Amino acid sequence: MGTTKLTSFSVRDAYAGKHVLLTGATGFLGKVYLMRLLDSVDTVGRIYVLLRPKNLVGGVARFEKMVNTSPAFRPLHERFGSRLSKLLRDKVVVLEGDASEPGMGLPLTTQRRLHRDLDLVVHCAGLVDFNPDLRKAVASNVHATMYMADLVERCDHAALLHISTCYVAGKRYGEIPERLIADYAPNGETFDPEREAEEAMAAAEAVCERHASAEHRAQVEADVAEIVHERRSGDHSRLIKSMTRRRLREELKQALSDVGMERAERWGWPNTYTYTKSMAESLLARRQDKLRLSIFRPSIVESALDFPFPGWNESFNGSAPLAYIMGSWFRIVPARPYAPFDVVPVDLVANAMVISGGALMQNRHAPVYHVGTSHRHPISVGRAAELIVLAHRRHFRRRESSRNERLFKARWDSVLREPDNAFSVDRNRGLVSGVIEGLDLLPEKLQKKIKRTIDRAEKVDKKLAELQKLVNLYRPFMYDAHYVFESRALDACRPVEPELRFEPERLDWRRYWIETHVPGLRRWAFPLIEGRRPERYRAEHPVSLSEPAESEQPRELLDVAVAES
Amino acid sequence: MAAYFASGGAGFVERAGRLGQVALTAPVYALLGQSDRTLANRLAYLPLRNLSEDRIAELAEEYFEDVLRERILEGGLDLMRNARREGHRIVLISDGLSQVIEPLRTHLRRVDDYVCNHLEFRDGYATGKLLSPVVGGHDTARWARGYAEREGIDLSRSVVYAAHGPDMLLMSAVGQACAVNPDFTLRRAARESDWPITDYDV
Repeated sequence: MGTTKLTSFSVRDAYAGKHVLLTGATGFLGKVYLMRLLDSVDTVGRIYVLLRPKNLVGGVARFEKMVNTSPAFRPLHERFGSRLSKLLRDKVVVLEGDASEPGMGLPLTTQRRLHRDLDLVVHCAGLVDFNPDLRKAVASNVHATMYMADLVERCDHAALLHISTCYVAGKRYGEIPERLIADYAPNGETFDPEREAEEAMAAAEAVCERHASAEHRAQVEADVAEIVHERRSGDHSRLIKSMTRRRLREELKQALSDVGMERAERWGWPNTYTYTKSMAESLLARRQDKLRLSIFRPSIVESALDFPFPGWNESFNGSAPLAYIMGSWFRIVPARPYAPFDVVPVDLVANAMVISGGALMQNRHAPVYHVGTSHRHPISVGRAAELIVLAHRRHFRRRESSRNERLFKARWDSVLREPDNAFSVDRNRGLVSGVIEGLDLLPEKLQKKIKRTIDRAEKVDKKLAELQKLVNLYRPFMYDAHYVFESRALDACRPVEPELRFEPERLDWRRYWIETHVPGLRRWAFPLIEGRRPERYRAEHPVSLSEPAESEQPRELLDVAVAES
Repeated sequence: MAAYFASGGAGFVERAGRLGQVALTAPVYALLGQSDRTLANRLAYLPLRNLSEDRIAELAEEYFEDVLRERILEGGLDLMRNARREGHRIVLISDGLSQVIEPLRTHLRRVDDYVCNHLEFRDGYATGKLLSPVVGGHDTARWARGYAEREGIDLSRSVVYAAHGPDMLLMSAVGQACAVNPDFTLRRAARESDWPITDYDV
């Protein structure tokens, strides 16, 4: 009997009466974690949600808007109806602050209350763009994590669950163990994260200075003027000024992104995202003895299997570009079919977060959790691509599809090829650019006559440029890498609640990709790639946190929520 | 059916290759079809070699939707209804692939058991071989005797409806046999054995 007692683990018990602080609650993963707690762990005490005011909209209003319009919350609305407002008022306290400021930019009184109250801090906030402005990446992914660690250190009894990513491993091959390595760099060189963070910021500042210098401005203005004068005669000083401003802005943005990518590649990371995430981990490793800490590393987080509902997705960093390209008219995709493709449904990841958070609070945690499928239930890039193709096939065969789609797309499948294939995007683009240049050389009269052809060629070129960008984005995950992420640590705490388990083995990949994931992407992620807005949800009983609650909620907490809204 | 699968390959070259193979096996199938259906079936599915299990499952569903569903005859359904009413246990024997028969299960609720052919897969890809026993050949009669023994069924009180020459052995193994839309060989055999012949409009 003794052994069963040791191994049995109840999430509801672990969270009973405990207070949790969640950052990044508006993100794809944060949202599902929050809902998991609200839906299945009703024993939890209070959930503090840290939200930053954005575009003049306060944190509380942002939270309400998210709950009332995000389709992810539909099941919660359907389950609780008009009672949802009360549930949220009882359980959730919105803190208006900013994770990338010391003390999260919260008033001291609030901070002190948090120090007393908190049992668990789930730090899910971060910048997930692969190649963002380096300054922003360091601020959100490195500095914010350190402030969060400061907070946890000052707390009486809180533990920190830091959400990172499996891909901090960088460009490596083989099995990656669940280990936190201090001062880690993928290329094996000595790496000082503190110095690196400072140097990265300094490098970014240097880029800014260079771009703000008078000579640089003058140079850009001269270039712009030359282009304008070449095409038009007369005075265009205002046009030149505005074009110069735009160009300076774009160049600075590009340069700040490039400087991050260069530094990342210098150490062996594929992009700024993984580089800054790994820096944060290294810095946390140095504080390990002062903190109760788990690093939580999901792989590529994808559409929900069941919760909040099958197919729910908000991410366009993982397999979405691949699926999108395979559903476009472009039929050749660069990838290595035998590499493992580590995708994991978001609800499984949220379950794993709930479990590891509970384990932390009961002091049964592991230092690192890998949450992926490549170790326990792998799928290869080749099989994933085959399933994507088959899902598209099924979609385009429907009667509603256009005749061309039914005739060609449904029957003419995309195939995987090495990137230097004769039909690769790069080469196609080269060809189209060549055609456009050639057309440019024609006499003006003729150009007017074939304007439609030129327009069409330019449109194709633009589309190919987009595809090229997408291909480069996912290449590190699908072509350059060959990893298996060990994931055993979670098995130490198998919850007694079946709906909260992390069991990737039970995934039926064929059904998941064809019936859940690709249709989910089509509905929720493809619009994002195309720059359209996916459908929203309109709650029948909109939630309001600020309505006066009748003495259900502790008075002091209500004050916090109202004072900060 | 093999042609349907072959034309569902991923690339054009692959499809052409597979279809070529089907074209080669087709006349052999037709010739052998009347004498040794087991070998004919084995040959027929060879062109499916190296198709992925995922693709075969999806194509099978398509095949069911596009082809098979429309070929289910009302008369056949009536036969099943009657057999059911008489308290018979219904077993559907087909030389089709399990993946194609799978959608039938949800479609025909009255059938108790399905017997069909299974492809061999290695690492998620078809090897082109059929797993033994291959259904549809002379072996089917032997298989039916084993099945009856296992399940405690009295074959002398069973009824078989069949349409092809090689089903003769199976038909003579049971108490009552009926040829339904039979091919040339079976029609002749049915006349000789005094089995009733039914023709439904297709």
